[in-house]
Amino acid sequence: VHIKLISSLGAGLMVVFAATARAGPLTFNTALPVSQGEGILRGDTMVVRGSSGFMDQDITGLAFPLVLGYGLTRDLTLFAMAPVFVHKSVNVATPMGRISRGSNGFGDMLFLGRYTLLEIDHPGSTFRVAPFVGLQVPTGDYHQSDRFGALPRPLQPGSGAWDPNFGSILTYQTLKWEFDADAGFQYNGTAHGFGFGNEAFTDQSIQYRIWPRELGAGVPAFLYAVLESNVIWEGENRMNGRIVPNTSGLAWYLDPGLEYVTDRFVLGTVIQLPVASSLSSKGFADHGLGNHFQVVTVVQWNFFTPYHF
Amino acid sequence: MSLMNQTRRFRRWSGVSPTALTIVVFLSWVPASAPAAENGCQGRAVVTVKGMACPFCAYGLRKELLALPGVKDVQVNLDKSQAAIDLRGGSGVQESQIEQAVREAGFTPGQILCEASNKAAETPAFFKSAQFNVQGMRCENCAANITTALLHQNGVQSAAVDLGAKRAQVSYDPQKVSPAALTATIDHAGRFHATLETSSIGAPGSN
Repeated sequence: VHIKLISSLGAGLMVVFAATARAGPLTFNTALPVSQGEGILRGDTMVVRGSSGFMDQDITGLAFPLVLGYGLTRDLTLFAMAPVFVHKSVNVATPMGRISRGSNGFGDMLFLGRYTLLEIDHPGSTFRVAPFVGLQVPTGDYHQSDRFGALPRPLQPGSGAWDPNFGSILTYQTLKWEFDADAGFQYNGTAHGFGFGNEAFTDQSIQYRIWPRELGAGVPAFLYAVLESNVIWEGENRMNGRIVPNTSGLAWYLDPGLEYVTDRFVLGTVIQLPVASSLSSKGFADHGLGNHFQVVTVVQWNFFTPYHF
Repeated sequence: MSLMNQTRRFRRWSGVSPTALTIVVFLSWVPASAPAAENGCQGRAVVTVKGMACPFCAYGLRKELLALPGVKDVQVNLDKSQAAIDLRGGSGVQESQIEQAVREAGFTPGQILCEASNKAAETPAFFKSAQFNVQGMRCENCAANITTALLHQNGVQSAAVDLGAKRAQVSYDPQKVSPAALTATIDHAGRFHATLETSSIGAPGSN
């Protein structure tokens, strides 16, 4: 699951984005195969904490997305991602003192299809390229309000809009290490006069097996050291057909972590640290985008379904 | 209407005895079980799996292979990129079925080696059979390791290891491998010591 938090207009924007499955990257998808008829269930916990000089705001985000992956054929895998609980809140300083605003609820679901286009296999290694297309559907609530009135749209659990996306993933995996990279784009639609800016992203991940140092017989569990990079660009939001100024931005994160992989389950965690960011293309500097961190923990379970379609 | 009358009327209408028809229907209903002679691999098969490089990937492969008819157990060796398939007694599996299962798991099948095969009946005259005495085997795993090592030796057509008798019987192509090389292969499969007992032309058991 790819989660993004961008501080814009003094409010936190958290977008739970792309589904993932298989051992591999923890913050984005991989091109590794899901067997025909195999199911993968993944549960994530995402905690975002941040602060910004703009109105001295503190941002908190919490999400529990569930991802279900199913191998329809050896090359085509379908994913459904349900953010079963999303919490967003912002605490800001005002002339009347500090106020908190926030929401809880079910987020926008994402459906995604991934097809293995290129596959070069050797004993102990594989190289794969898999394009994907997806659609984020407006299942989340976007009409929540508090004592100050309707919450700003970036604070709502859902966007209210239909958001198609596409991209491609590349994976090279050996028994010792793995490299993954992706690039993609999401068009964010408009709902009730408001539309988030379109998004483009690219991610890279390297995982290095640190245990066991030597492989024995059978299928031993692996412990990987993980380092990931996420670059996210977001265009300007639109309100009633007009661009909302100072809402676009570019952010770059580095995510060190650990991943424990067995044949039945995966446990992993990374901490997503801001490296650089810019707001409204003013250059790389800290404009409130970058001074937050995010912790992603992952539990993933492998199962086989009796249904082969 | 009595059952006797119904039978007579049916015979007049169809010209076929209802009893005969029942037998034909029954025979056509009995599920077809492919005779062992039609199956490629028997006993144990080892398939090289290309593209499998993490523990999480091995699960799907194992499940796909276990779903094949006649398969008793599957052991995946990640380091060697292999899956060893144990078949029930009297059962066999076609190499094409194994290849299909590996593909459905998302990987590429490589070489498939069979411990025993109905191809033995088609063994060309130039294949030779050798029998080794093997010391140091203590469990079924030792026997399995030796079998796997032999099957991976270039030129070996089939191999069978008997733990109780402490013997290994190998059918091999003398153009590609020698009994001395086979002895070394067994020795290097673990802490074993092999000595050649007999060597003759033909498939295992035919000498």
